[in-house]
Amino acid sequence: MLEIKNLKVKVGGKDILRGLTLDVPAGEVHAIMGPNGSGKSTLSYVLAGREGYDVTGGEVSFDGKDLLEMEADERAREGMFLAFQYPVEVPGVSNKVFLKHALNSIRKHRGQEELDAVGFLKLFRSKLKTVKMDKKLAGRELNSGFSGGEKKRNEILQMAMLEPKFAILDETDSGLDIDALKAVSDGVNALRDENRGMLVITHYQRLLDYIVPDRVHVLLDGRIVKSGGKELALELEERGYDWIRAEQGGAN
Amino acid sequence: MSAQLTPLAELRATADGLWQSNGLPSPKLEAWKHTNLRALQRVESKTGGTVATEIPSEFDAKIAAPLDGFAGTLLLVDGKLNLALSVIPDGLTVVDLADAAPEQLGTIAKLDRLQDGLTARNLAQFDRGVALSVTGHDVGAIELRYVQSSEDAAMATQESRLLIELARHAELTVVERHIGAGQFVNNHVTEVDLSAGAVLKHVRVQHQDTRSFHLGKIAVRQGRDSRYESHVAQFGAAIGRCDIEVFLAEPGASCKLDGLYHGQGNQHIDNHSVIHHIANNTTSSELYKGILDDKSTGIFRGNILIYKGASGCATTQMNRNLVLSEQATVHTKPQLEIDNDDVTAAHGATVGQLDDDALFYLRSRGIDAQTAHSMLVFAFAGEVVADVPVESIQTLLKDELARRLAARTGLTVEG
Repeated sequence: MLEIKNLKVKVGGKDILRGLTLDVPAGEVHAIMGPNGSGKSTLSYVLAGREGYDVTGGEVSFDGKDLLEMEADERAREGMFLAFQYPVEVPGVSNKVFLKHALNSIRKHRGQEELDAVGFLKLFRSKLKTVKMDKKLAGRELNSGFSGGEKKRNEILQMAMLEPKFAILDETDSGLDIDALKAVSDGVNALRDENRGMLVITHYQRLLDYIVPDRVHVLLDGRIVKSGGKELALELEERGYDWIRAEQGGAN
Repeated sequence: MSAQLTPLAELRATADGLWQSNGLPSPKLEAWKHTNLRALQRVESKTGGTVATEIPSEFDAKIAAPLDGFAGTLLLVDGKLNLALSVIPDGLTVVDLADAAPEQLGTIAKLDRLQDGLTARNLAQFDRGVALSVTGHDVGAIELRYVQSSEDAAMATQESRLLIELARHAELTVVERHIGAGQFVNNHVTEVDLSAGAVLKHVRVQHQDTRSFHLGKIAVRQGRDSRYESHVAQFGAAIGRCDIEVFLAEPGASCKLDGLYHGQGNQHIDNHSVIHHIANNTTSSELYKGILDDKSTGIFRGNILIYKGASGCATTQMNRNLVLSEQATVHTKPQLEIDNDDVTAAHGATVGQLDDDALFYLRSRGIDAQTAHSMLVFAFAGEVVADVPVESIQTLLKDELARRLAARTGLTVEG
């Protein structure tokens, strides 16, 4: 579903991703773990289509299409979704109005009928329950004045509403207390589906107790250097990354 | 000779002298540094100044259809009151200035403070407009709708005047909508006199034809504990200039001046304000937001004067600008002049572009770039629109902004 081949990315002239290769088939949840500065956030932003990144090599195929050729909004309409590490506050834009615009532009692209206000609200209310989000909060201005946990829940609410083909969760666990972590994980797990792929980017193993991955990859210095099952996450938690660096044998 | 003149006639004679000697304000004056009236002068010299247009008898009554939430609507055609198509609510006294002018006219828009030929010209020459007064309690909202008799009429200058007087504890909401089509000059002076405890909410929506000129002066004198709220929305005219001068003359008086302006094409939109804190415990707040696109120019200049001996005053002033085009120009000058120590004051100005992170965030959810752009512009304007009295006017402002943004992007967006 998502095939990344030898992806090389520079930011401000500096090499960040140095030939990253990764294949996430539909129906699977893969985790990427790595220390600070290994390129995790760059990967998520490049896949979502943020400006300011120079792709200098490699390719990304999404559902058979060239992902890197598309604008950010086209990618979203094609079914790509990034749950932001730092969701952006947009004062003055209502959460609901925003989501209705987003949902209808995606529905239109899929050839589905656009939802009217009634249809939208019905769906909105049902999805609020799945992420255990306060109705009042959801009607406020987009992420404006939300706590860290509220912002993350709002990301998962958006994901539940938009039903993407593929979701990238960028450090979704950061800044969450245990209740919020559970609510967010439940929301994500409810969306696991044989037709949907997910990439969970995280610093800590903790999240993977709740969202259990099919595969775990280690990102180090802009490359996937080791892959394994979910037990690899536990090993990383215990031993850190130095042993992997040592395994690489000074290849860098 | 002058002893035989009434006070108003005398004022008008003085004003005429001032107009003859000063002429149109020139960019040499600090207050007109960024606004050049050469284009207006060129047009007026061709037509020889004031042209009085006749109101066609078959004038379309639809144009006077009232908006929701209004107790009354006054239709002003070429600045002249059309009584037949107007609805005047109980408790509101309306005097047609074409028939008689109250003696107090011209005393608030004080000539001695103004080196401004336009205000003088208006006082000397005005021959149309209305005086509104309320002596009882809240009359509700009334709309003054300024339209042109004909779009095809030759360039016409109209000198119109509006006087609003509220007696003690009277309340009124006045919405001026300047929506004239065609090429014309609207030199419009509004005077407001608020007695103790009176409350006036005053909205001006300026969406005149972009070939026209809007020169608006608003002068306000406030009595003890009175409240004046101004909401100026400027969308129209080739040159749209609005000057507000508020005299907080007695203790406890307060005012709020809000503004929203959106420039497109080559529009030149200019907002000036002066707030005089003359008495103790007077407060003011001011928030103007500008959106400048294409090659438009937006100007904000706000002066707040805290007089010596006026203790316990508080003021805030902010001008925020959103620049959507590299060729648009913003001039902003918030100014405080404080003559005593017992004051709370804050002021500032910002000039910025749309937030790239917010744009990306919206787009990452499937919203196309142009819609995302419009949503953020709406969000910027929302704060000032939400404070406008009468909901139908809020809707009208949102619709107008949406229409203008749609003209840019070819898309519509709901606020």
